Amino acid sequence: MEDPHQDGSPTLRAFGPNAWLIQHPQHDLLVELADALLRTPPQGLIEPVLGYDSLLLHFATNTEEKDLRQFLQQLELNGKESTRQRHHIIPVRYDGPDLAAIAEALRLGTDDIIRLHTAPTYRVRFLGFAPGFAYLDGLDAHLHLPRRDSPRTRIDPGSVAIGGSHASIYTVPSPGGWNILGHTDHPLFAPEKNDLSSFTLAAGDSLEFQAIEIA
Amino acid sequence: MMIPVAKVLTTGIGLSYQDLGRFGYARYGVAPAGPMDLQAHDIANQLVGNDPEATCLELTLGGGRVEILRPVWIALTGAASSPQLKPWSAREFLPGETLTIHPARHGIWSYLAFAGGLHAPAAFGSRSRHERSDTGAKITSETLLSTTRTVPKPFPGVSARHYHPEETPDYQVDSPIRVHAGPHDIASETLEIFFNSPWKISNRSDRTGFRLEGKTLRPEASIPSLPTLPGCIQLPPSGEPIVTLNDGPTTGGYPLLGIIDPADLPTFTQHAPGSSVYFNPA
Repeated sequence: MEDPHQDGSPTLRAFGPNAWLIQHPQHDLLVELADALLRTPPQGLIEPVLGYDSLLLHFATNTEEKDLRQFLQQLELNGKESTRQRHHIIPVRYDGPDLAAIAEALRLGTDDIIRLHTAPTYRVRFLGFAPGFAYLDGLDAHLHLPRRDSPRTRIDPGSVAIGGSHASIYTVPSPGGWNILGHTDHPLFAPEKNDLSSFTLAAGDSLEFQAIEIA
Repeated sequence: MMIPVAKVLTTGIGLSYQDLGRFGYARYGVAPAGPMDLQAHDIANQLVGNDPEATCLELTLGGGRVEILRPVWIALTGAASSPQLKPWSAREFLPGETLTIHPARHGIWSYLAFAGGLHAPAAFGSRSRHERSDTGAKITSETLLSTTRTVPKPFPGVSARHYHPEETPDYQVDSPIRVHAGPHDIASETLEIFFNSPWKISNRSDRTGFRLEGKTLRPEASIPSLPTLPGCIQLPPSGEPIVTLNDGPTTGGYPLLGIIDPADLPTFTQHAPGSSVYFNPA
């Protein structure tokens, strides 16, 4: 993926009358900025939303660029990793319907695929698509594969999947075109909690997959 | 408190609880949901004396029928007709009455507001139904509709209320939809074609998004996924634009042709499949 920011400075772009998009190649900085904005929100901020290399600031009403720039300059960024960033270990049963086909396509054994998938420490880049669905950075380049030609109409929650350069875990029953390597029972989305604690993963968290033996 | 005031007899093709929507969880992938036509939703609540955030019923192309169980004021707004209640008006209904909603000639979405506001369990701070993630309560035939409080006589001495006819939206009038520049650099000839061509609302349109049919636009290079809002006009590799709406995903990987002005979203979403729509730079 090309870095759209040659000079590494954040850009601020209007996103309709009530929102601004901050783009920056340094993901850590965007996560930190989102945290700071949640701690001390500017007037009228509905919520900050993270993307791959961007942070959307959605306001209730029109916000002037100069006011926003001034606010952002005054924000206290402590430069430390957010205290809320956690490390997760996700146990996986590598029994996914696409595991064998991927191994065959790459002329590897399924053990090799499992090794490639469990080796990295992943990082939650952002969440989207469905509640609690995390786009994970850090997938081994060997496993950067195109999505399935025909998406499945229903993928079960807990399905451990890869798509393009990302890895993820499905959190709600949904259609999807990613290749499914296995399944986990690790809780990722608990709607009954009905608040922020419903979501196991947050942007900036780290994560690793651990193979569990299939008896 | 929950007071059952009506029973759903038929749901039609879409009947859902909608308040103002779900905010504060988009960074976790939770879509806003909420009314497709915020203006009609707001007027429905006004007509029965509710606060703007009160929960209403949203109907897709009419089709719903409810039986009244207790005296209650009900308003109907948006794209619908009914033998029992003139659109853009409200009146008191009595036990035993049935309210049937039919589609209107133009438009898609209509709203029923009940005095006191409808009671539904809150999920992540909102009572709006989001079908894709099964968030918020689902309505079926036989669902009992309850209000959060009882308001037997919201307007003493008044038998019915009507919204000002001159202020009532006309879904037949085809005013262009204002679009703001998006964050991506889109080829100027692509934008020229987009703004100077008629577009048709595809049959493959719903609360998650509306597809636009017409000229095939030249796709742009894909971009790193970015957050989207209702009204974002995405340009996928097929060259057929898609407008993300309330129930759509919270992020997207396609370049944005632009962003529909929030004030014009009700006008846009009331375009039924097959109808034509024009866009103007805001």
